[in-house]
Amino acid sequence: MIKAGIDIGSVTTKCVIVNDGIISGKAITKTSVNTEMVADNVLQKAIKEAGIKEEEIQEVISTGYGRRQFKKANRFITEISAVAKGGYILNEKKRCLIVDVGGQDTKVVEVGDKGEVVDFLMNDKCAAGTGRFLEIMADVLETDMDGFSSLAMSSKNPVKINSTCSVFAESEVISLITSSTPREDIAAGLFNSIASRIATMIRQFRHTDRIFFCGGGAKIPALKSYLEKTISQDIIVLPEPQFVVAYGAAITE
Amino acid sequence: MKKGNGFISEEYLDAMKYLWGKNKDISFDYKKYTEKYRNLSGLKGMEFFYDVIAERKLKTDKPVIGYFCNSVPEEIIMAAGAVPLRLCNQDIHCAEAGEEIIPGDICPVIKAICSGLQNDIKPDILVIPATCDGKVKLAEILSSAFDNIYFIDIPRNSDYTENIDLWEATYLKFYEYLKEKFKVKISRKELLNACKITNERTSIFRKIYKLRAEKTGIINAFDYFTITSASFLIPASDWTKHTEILYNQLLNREIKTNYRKNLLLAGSPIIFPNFKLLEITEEAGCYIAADILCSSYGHLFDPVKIDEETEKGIIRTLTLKYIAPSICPCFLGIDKLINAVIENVEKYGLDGVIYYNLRLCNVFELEIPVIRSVLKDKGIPFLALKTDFSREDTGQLKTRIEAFMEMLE
Ligand code: SF4
Ligand code: SF4
Repeated sequence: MIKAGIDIGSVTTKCVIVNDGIISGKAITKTSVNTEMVADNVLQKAIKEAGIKEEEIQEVISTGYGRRQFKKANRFITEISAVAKGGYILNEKKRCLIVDVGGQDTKVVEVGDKGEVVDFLMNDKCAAGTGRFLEIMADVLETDMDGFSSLAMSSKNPVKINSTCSVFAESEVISLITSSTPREDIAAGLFNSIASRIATMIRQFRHTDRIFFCGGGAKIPALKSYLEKTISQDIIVLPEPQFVVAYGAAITE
Repeated sequence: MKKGNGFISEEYLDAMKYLWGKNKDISFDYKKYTEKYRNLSGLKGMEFFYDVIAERKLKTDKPVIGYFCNSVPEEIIMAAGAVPLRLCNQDIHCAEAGEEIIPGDICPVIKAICSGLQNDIKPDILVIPATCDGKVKLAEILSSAFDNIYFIDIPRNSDYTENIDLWEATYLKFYEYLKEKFKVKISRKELLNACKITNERTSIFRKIYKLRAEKTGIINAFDYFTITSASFLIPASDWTKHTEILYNQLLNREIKTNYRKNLLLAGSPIIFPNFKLLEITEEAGCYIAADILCSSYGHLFDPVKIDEETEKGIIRTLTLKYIAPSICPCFLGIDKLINAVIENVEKYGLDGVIYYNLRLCNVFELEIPVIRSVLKDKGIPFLALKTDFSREDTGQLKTRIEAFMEMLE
């Protein structure tokens, strides 16, 4: 059976097409004001990659912040359920904790033995602790995300950044730059600050022995590394981390 | 409290007086706002309550005593020949207007208090109990501009076995104050009568409460929280009379429901027009089957159990009514709150608990980790939501509530 999962996030929209549970096509694009059009574009791209015709898709399941805006969808589920489904299958159907750092929210989901959501937390409404925060900070340091991450990884002496609010952190960073603090130490400080925010969320859960990481944030090496340091534990990045939610939607029964 | 300290500028006082008097200009059209909820259920017995909310007028020739929170003994006010009027307000417009005199990261209920008085009612006395820090400071700030602010200095522990004497002393003092103020002698009969009136209110409230819990969909959250909000604004006996009418209509009501889960709502109070969260729960198919909010359950659920009919004995049992069941997070006594949650969930076989944490209300937020962990042990699903009166986070709240519903299914 061919199904499509579409994850309409605040920053990017993703689509995964599965054929009997196996991924046959996927695509990603930036979300814009016209959610409906973006979702359809990304669906068409994934269809092309899968080498199928649209009529062959038996069900379209949409998830993410803009889930209800996609008229072609037969069904909606929240990104919480979707990430749990995707993460559960990708980790051989075992109980786990999934950390998903997206553009505008960060969520931690505890998945039980049968793949059910046991509990979840999402960050508060501001950008602190999300991918957006890191993007803004990379900008302030006049680099891109890769550069930002490598800078942080090369630091030996991270500074302490007190603010997690992007507005305050920005001015804190600017004053550090003007006082000639090495950029790598500032970068490291920023990753530490977001990592400790995510760690606070993780600590509210009981079963934290197996932690998986996904979402756009999981593609940033420094974030993984500083998060591991903060919680003193290894975390595993799921394959194709940005597509876990769309995949989870696609395999929803 | 003493009036005026001489150090507050004229300008500040004028701003305060302006807000106090001109609530009409600040607040929005309640009539229009009530319509959308009124039409949803179309219950005839609800008309009265929506009218009360829309008009916000208290028709009485008796003196009016405005008060905040659950720990002010209404019965004493009634026995003194006055009408109690609970002024807790959750109107975003009032909160924004209140910024002028109380700016900063302060709970919006506190800000709204400054401007949140009813359109045409000016209370003769304003009673503020020592609940949260915001209320305490508010009493001080307001008393610099107004006469007749009465502060009830209740202690922080609501364990009656330890603290009933201290609570009782503050109520007795209040009792004496009212007698002196209104130059009245309050007789036993008047006290007993006041207790009878609130007990009748409790008895019909319990019936509605039980019916709502046992019959999914019998009353939607808007109607329910409108009747509880109306209980702030009208004399208890009027409320009882109209709630009885409504109850009888509910008994014969045919219902078909789309609700998927039955939940308990706990946390910060919900007062009209702050119905954002209710709109989302209703839309998600989530039935609020029970609640333990101070604006409904806390306000109306507990009776006065008189056993000794002396003046002293009555005040004692009245004190007991307020201290013993108190689950207001401002006091020590989280065990009582947890018991109330578990009791409701088990008694009515509910599917989970939603905890409403009004942003910037620290006392409620502080309790979350404890409740979360206790409920986890019991296997009761729990969702805490932090939000305020604004609408910008509606999408995020929807995702959380829908995800919670999916988790329960
Ligand atoms: S929770 Fe307590 S302090 Fe807050 S409004 Fe209710 S009774 Fe008052
Ligand atoms: S909501 Fe909280 S902070 Fe605000 S008045 Fe009530 S108890 Fe105080």
